[in-house]
Amino acid sequence: MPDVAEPVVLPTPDISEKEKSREALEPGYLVICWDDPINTMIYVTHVFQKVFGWTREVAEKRMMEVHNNGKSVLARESLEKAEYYVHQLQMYCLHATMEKADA
Amino acid sequence: MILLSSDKEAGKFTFRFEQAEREWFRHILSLYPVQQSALKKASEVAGSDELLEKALADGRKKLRGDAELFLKAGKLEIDPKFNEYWDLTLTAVEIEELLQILNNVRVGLWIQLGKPEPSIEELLPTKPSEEQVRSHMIMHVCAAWQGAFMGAVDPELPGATQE
Repeated sequence: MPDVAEPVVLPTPDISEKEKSREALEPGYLVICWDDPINTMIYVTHVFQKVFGWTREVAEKRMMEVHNNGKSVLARESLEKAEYYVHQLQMYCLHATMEKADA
Repeated sequence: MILLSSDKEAGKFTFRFEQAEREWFRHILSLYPVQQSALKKASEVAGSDELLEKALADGRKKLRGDAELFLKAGKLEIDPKFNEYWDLTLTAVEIEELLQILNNVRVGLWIQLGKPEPSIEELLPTKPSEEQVRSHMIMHVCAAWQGAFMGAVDPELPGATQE
């Protein structure tokens, strides 16, 4: 019997994995900084400038939002970027968290 | 501690510590890290919190190594009037690391004290324990030096300690 090439069967794309990858890149996560009685305002301003590259004026404005409102949403980013920012802020010992943004 | 000289272009800043300040510096760096975990869970996203905790632990380990190097660096100067100074030159990157170290010690001690609110009753209890007094002193020194370091890299920062 002559050799017959085996048909090539492509793997069925895993839709759930593709959706997860797309989701990870979408700016669907909020980076939040919470107020606390220990971090000084000048220090928080400095950290915002360093982590986000903001000017002093912008950093002060966002710092005052944290101070007056108890918290501020600093950024809306992809999962990976949000994790990066939270990590950076927590290395400076700021009270930072992330959560999924509402659609 | 005073800012002795700064070269912003080269990103180098030289600070002078008196003998007692050097001992404070040594002691504070030896305490790091005091805060070992975040104040609140960083994320409800599955897997994120564990990843963040690990990244933070790795970061603190690196800073612990850098703290050891800071203690070995610097130059001891003897003033003719028999005063001993310790001159330490830091880069802007090293100053950022020190800011993180100082704040970790400060926030960590605050947590250990039970997260006191900034009211005089909580900051100055009637009969403070030795631990409370020691912790408050260290927190105060850390805050003062944070101001000095931030003022060195950005003299126009409002409220930062000026040269």
